[in-house]
Amino acid sequence: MKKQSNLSRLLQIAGNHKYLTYASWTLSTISAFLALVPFYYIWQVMQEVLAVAPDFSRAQNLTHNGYMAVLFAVIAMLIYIAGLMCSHLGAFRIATNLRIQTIEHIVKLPLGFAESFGSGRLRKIVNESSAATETYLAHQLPDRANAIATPCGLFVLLLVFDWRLGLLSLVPVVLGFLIMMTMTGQRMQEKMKEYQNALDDMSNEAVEYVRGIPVVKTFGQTIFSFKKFKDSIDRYKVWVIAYTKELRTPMMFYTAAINGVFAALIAGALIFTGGGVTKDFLLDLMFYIIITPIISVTLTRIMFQSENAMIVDDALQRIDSVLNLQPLAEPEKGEHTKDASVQLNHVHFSYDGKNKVIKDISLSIPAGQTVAFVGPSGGGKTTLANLICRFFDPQDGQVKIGGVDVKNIAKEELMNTISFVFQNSRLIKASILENVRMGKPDATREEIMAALHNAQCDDILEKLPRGADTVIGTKGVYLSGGEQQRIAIARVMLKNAPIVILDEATAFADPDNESRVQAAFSKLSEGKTVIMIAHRLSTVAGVDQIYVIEDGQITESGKSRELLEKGGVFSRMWQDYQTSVQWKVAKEVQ
Amino acid sequence: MIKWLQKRYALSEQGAKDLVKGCLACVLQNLSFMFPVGLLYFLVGDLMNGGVPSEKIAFYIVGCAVCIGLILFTTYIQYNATYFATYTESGVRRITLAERLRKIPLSFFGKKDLADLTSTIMADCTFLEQSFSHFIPELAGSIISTVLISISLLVFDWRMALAALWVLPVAFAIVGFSAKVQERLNQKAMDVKIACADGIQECIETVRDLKSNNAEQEYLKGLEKKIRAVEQRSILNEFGLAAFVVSASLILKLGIATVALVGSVLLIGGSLDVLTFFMFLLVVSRLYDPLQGALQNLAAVISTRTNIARMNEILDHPIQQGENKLSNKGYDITFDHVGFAYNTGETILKDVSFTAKQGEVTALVGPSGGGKTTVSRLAARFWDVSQGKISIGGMDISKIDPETLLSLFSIVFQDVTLFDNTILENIRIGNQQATDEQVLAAAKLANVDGFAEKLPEGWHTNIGENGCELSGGERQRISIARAFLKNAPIILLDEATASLDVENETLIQTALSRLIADKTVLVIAHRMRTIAGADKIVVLSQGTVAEEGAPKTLLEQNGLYARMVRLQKESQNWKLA
Repeated sequence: MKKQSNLSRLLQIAGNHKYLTYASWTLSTISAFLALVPFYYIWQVMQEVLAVAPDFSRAQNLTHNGYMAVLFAVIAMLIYIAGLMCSHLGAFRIATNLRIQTIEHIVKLPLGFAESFGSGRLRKIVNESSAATETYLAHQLPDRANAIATPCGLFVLLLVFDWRLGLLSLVPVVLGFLIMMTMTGQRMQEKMKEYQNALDDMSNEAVEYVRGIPVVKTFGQTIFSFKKFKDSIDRYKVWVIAYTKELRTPMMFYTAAINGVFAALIAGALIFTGGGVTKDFLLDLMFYIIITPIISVTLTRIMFQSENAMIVDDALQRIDSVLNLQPLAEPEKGEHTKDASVQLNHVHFSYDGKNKVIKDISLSIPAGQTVAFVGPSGGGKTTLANLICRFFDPQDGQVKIGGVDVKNIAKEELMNTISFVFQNSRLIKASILENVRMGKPDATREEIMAALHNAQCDDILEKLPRGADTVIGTKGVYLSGGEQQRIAIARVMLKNAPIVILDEATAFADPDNESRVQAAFSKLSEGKTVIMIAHRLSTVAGVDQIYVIEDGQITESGKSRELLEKGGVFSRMWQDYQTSVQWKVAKEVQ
Repeated sequence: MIKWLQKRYALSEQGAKDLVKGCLACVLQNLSFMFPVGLLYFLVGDLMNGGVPSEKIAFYIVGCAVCIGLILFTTYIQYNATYFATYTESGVRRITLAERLRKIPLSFFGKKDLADLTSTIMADCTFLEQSFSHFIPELAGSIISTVLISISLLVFDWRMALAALWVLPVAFAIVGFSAKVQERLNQKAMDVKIACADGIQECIETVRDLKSNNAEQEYLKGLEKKIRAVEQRSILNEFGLAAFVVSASLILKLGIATVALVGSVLLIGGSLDVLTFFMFLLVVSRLYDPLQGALQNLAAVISTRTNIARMNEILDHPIQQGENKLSNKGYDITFDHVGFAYNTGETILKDVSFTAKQGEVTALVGPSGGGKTTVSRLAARFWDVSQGKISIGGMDISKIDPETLLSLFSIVFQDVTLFDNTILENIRIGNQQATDEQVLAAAKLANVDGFAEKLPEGWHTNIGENGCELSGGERQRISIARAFLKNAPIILLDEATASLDVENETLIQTALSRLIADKTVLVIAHRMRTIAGADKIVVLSQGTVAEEGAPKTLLEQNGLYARMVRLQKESQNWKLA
């Protein structure tokens, strides 16, 4: 049932290429039948040989039949290959479509998703899980068609020539089949799952082991962590060997059965020739002796199928774990914002549906004002900013920009209204020019250069070999975090949106960069509605409104002076801040 | 031969021997499949002479039983020789790799996709399991048994044998030639595939920036091209490869036909008897199929080379060695004209000399890319210097085993690695012998109790893979707690408090001040004020020591350091208005 649905899903993804996949099955089936035809001609050869013996000069058609056998063998082969080509074209297209479909879906998902999922893992799902379907579609399905058609054709042939011998030679085959069923049954499925789990466990241990080496090494404990990893390797080894031992006996008897057709034929010959040997019987027997080895080949081919169907199942499950996530709903008809004000009404939010990160926050920022979110890390500052530009939707309450619920603003317009300067802005592997142009696709070179200048990027351009045309991420071109951030600011400047959200985090920037980034911030904020996530309390002294956010709630708000006078959370933070600012690395005086 | 196999397939000695055994077992099994042909030959011969004489019936029955017994027996041998040996060897291989990884210089672990690399290697091991249990022995087995059968055919009737066997060398030549072409095609396909994978990764990593600039559709268009290019390449590859496989298989098929043809001619000419003719048809119909099956796995056998190359990259990576006995007197760290580069052709450090004295705080400052982090990691022998010498208390660190050397260091990195274990155990990494009380004391110093006690199971809460449940500040606190617990004589702090919020920063700073008393302390800091109280400042710029001295002296010199302090004061007072 499950496999069927997997397959039909894959075919649906194939689009028009699914006909290629169908064609491959048809061709594969045809070739399976055609591949039996040469045996017919060989039978003819033998018939003639026996008929004319011992005077072989009377044989007229020997060479003709020989050629026909060759001809059909070649045709069958060519058709089979044509089928494989079709299946490959189909399989490659399915992998391509899967990749495109998944990555497009990922782009539509709420933004925090990629981070919580892990970018490496996501890439694997998009890239490798899609590829995992290839072998299955390209080789296994046509082979299966072939493997089903061959026994059918064979069955007919076996019964047509001498049904008694035919039935007899099927006995070991049925026996082999039954043994195979015991191997691939329900229990086997469970075992395969266990195997996969043992493998996954070991793989996870390995990742943790390697990732941990720098740490355990600095603490002189590699023996300890090595032992843990070694245990998982040994566990796996013991499991696999026990498992293969279990399969040994059925495997032996299966092999003996499908290769034991000769015994059935000998038995048949001994039984049926009691009353003398006819030429026809001899001929049929010889034919059966030649043709039956195909059985073992075909059966062995079916043997190794189930394993790969499971790989596909697993790959599709992984892909579905991404595709089943709901993207944010786009409004059908976008409404337009009236101004650059921001309003939150009783907003509640939780990432996982359990722990509330934002609890009933309401605030209103008039257009043109500068406000700051301050508070301990993990308090919800960044989440709040993310909700404002609709990187997520709140479970409850409303976020309004210019009087309109963000859910009703077209995504494109919303993004044109809000600029976000992230803590760790990322650039793409393209020239600096292209990276900045992203902010405004139709910008001229002059506009971009002006934005770069305003974002204090002149020193970056100077040190690069090809200035603004230097491609980032190529050999030797490396920009520090602070430098990348300035380029991201240039991008935002070019975009010139009326609302700016700044995530101020300059902890890792060196002093040179830091002061430049700040100057760029100042330029960027001119005449805009600014929401700043402030990590340094000194920064917020002059803003219009400070919101202290703790534990998902606004605990205090007001101007810096008011809050200091009030002597609440903010003033305590301020004191802490002053102490830490004055801290110096030095030995404690004892 | 064993030696050669060991090297070529990255095997242990036992593994190489087992591989040979596995191949021989496959030969035996293939031969056992051929024994019944003899019986059938006699049977047909008897029938042609009018029937099986009654006294020979027993012979046939016993013959059948013996043949089936042989098949069972050889399958048993083959099964043991391939599967068991392979899984045992696989365990050995994984452990060897793990052992090696443990000894590779820490610098190796700075590479980004380490987790990726590891899973690839683990997958490689699994793939090799399959190669060694199926593909290689089956291929070798079928080749050897085919040769043996061919020789006996030649003895039987050389003309018919030639008609049956001429296809073999031709098919093999084609396949051998295809291996070369395949390698070249693969290389090209690999480039396209890497571009596609990189594109996907970049898209996922930058999706936030793309979306907030309405640039995602544009980007996806470019990515789609890369994805389609992979499809194009794969098609080309497949067709190129198919051309060879097809011709090889076609030629194998021709074998049966030429036997029929030549046989007919010889029969007509009267120089061949029917029984021999029949026997050749019989053997030939069984000869090619196993071989063709083995050839289909040839691609897999060829690609084991790539897997093994990847593994050898780790196995052949030079390891750092040294004595296990420390001979240092005191804990002064001295850099003596040290030069260093990660890759040939570039220079990170040109000529760095300074001393970090025991009982003093030495701060490394300078613009990013100036080599601060490199210097601190060289001191702990994450890499070996390319020029000059680093010594601790007069002991050349390049002569000391890295793990022994590291026992002298407590290091707090910017990036923190955590384990899928409880908070308590994650801190205990700092000192495995520590009692729960000692661990808790260290944890309190680093203010871990601030969040640990709020967790559902407190100190015994499992923190998930690489501590994914914890925030940056929380992770850093655990890392500092480890350093407290280890309490080594030399302390390296690399922006140790950067990702903490103010409240925690203050608390931890106090604790740090306590930790570093009487020790050799090397600090990397971006915040000038943090290090204003250091005993000595070393300003690194463009790979050399630009300035060196007490903070006060340097301020008076009015050079780089003074400028950085000034700039930072300005940004300290910056206000968004």
